[in-house]
Amino acid sequence: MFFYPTLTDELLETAGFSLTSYIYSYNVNDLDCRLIGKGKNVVKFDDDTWRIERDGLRIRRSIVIEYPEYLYGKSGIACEDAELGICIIWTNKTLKQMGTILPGNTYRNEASSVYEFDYLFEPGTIKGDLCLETQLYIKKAAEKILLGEESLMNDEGVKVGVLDEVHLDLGSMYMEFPIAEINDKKLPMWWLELSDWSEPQKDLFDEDSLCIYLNTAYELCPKMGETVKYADVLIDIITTVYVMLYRKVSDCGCLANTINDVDLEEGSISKILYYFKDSCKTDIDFSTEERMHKTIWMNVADMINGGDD
Amino acid sequence: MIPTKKLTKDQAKHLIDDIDKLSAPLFDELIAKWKNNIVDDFSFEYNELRNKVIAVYKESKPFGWYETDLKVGFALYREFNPANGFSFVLASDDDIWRYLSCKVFPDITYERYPTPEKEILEQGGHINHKRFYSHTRRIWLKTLWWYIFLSWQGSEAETYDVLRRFGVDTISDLIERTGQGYRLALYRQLMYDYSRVKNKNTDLFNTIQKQNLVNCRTTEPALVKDAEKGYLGMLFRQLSIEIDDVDRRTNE
Repeated sequence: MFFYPTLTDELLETAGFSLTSYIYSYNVNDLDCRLIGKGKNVVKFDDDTWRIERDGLRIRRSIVIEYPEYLYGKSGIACEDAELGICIIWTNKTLKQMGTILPGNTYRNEASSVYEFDYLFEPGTIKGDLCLETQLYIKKAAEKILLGEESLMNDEGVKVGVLDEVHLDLGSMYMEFPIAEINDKKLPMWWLELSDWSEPQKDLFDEDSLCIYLNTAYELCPKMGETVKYADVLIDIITTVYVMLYRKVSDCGCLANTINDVDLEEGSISKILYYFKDSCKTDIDFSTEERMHKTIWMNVADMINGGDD
Repeated sequence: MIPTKKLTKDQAKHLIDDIDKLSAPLFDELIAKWKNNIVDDFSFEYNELRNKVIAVYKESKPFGWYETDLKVGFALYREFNPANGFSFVLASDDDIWRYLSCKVFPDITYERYPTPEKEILEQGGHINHKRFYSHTRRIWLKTLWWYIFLSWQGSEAETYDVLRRFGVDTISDLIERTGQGYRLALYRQLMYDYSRVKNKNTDLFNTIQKQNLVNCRTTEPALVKDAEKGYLGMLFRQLSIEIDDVDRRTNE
């Protein structure tokens, strides 16, 4: 919840925002090799010759605001005398790091403002996942605040609207879960260990909060690695894990906030469960646990088996 | 070539569980060896590193745990240096730190954290599992490396000059409050500015970190006027924290 006006869908449309899709590529012997991403909210790459840790990742995109004047003044989100900027905030949950990307090139094209981004994640700097959130922020505060602009945010560096959010899955989907392998025939083929968390909206989705144990003593146990062996078993495991997590989140009284993205901290257990729900093609039916299980299974199967996008 | 042998969580658990299960005389025998820094079940590639770290550990121990933590952290950072190819990916790999803790440096890890967790103690165990391998943000040697990395001021001398005034709580307060993730430039500036705070108390750094997390929900430090430095100036004013007028970097 914000106590100042932020970007709305209506304003986004009125101001004429146009965002190109990201262009992803990597460098091989000074050749820029394109990567084709599959998926909209969660993007995956199928290129076997590319490895993020070894090859890095270059991202490019342009953003045009056709009528930027609508963003300013008492009906907008910044004072007439202020300047708005656009940046991409990246988060790499696996390595617990984040940063800010500013446009390399900004110019006016007739009445439009154009922002061009071109950024290279060097090899060895990111792994596992990458979230790219394009944000509008107050770049320069207004010196003069006009009548009617008192409620507008006027502090430099403050974010006033999300333009879009893209998640790159740089491993396989199930690898987003903290996973440990064990080898012990006296133990089950897999189990989920949940630590004693009670605030899923804040507690981080990491190994300290939860861990899936895969017992390689069983032949059918899915193996960790580049390709998925025994995918059907893996689908059942991941489905059950999601059901258990939603149940625990519900026990904590946070299910409604979790599925509606209310007050969720980035990287928290609830936020990850929200992303999962949001990326599902088939709506998850939360009305009963059996229905939840069935609808989650359909989505997990689709993700692991690689449905058409 | 930096040695990066790995020990998975499961392998580390087995190894530590085996130590926990030792009979009292056998455990005492192991501790006697560790007290004399006799550890031999590790790859020879680590010999030089081990000798350096153990020497630093022994030299700094009389000056207290924080000084020891710092000096061991620097010794590790010298060897596992980003400039030598120790990438962010490697530094985040718990299995590499598990190998170091459980195989190369079990003696000093045990001496630094001799008390096991309550539930381990109740089961008759001896070892602090979190500090050896199980808790990603508490593996002792890993926390020391990250503490130095996140505080780095351009050289060891400058980094030491900034960190020497702090305490062991600062390490956990820095490492364990990640928020969405580490903002490297912000943390490095924060450690520098915090070293200039006139009246530090034990909770102050924690308070700063908590307020920082709250502010970062709406404000991106890198985008504020004067970037991280400007942002931290605002944060400190917000918390009524006074800092020395003299900026050692600019002599202003």
